[in-house]
Amino acid sequence: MSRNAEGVTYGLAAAVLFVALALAHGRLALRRPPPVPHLLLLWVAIGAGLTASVLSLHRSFPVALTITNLAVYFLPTEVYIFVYTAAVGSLSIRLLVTLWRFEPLPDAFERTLARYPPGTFLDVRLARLVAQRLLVAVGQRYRITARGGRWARAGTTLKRVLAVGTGG
Amino acid sequence: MFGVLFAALIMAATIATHLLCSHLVAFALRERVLVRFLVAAAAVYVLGYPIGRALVAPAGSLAALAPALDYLTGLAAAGFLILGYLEFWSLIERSFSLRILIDAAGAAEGLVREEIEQSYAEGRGLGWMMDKRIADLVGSGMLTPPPGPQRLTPRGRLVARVGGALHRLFLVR
Repeated sequence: MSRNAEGVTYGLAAAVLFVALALAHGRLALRRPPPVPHLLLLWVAIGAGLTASVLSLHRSFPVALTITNLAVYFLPTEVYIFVYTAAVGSLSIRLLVTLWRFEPLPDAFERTLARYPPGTFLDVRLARLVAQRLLVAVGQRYRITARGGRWARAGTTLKRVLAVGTGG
Repeated sequence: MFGVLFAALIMAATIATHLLCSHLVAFALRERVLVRFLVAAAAVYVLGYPIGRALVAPAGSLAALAPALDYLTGLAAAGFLILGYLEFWSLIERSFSLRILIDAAGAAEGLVREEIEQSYAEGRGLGWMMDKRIADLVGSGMLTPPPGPQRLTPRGRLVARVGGALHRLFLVR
């Protein structure tokens, strides 16, 4: 293989492997959308494997070839993760898809809003935050855990650094 | 490798400039401003690479790949960094879960569900969150604006179709 081919081929192969394993994990193993941390773990693991492989296989320009292969690996896999998180988690996408399915009806928009009252999303998120031990349910009350407090402080700091709004 | 380093340098400068501008100017449409910065960064890479390469005249590891391939790997790196910053910024700006955590952290005795619903985003409430989402859809040209029945625009219909296909692919119910 020429050096030019070596500069991108491993990265492309790793990207194909990532997409295949991510899809197989959801469709065949879990039979539901995999949690994003699973995908991120797979992403990092394949990236580490790619780095180790290129560094160990090449004596000339190992660092340069690793960096170019990682660039080729990161772009399509990040696009996959971006599209996946938008498809699975975005409220806006869910509203659009539901509206499209109701569309022939004259009151499609009202039906969409009725199907997804704001509280629906809140219940799902609260359950997830409790499962992740960021919140704890004590009776009727939700209290922040020490871990959740660290995330909240980090989030507040980042909001200040990025000068973004209230958000949500 | 020159292309990757050139892309990283451009993105570092873009992020620094974007942060500085965000602190100095209260933009009404922050997302649109961010997208313009990122489009500008991509354009600087696309047009600036030949000039940068001619000025630096890379050698050794920096010239490990043929110029055309080096240009493309740099473009991939630029795409990765642009998308990464966009995702990170959106997560911090819009995350529903992060907002709930920040609100809960401000209430030492905890919050009941109804309080979370009402106090969401510093007292704006969950209804505000939905109104903001719908306003964003109108603003991005995917939903027709009120008054009158709100419907999908052709762009919104296209995104909805793609979203529906992705829901099937990823088994979203």
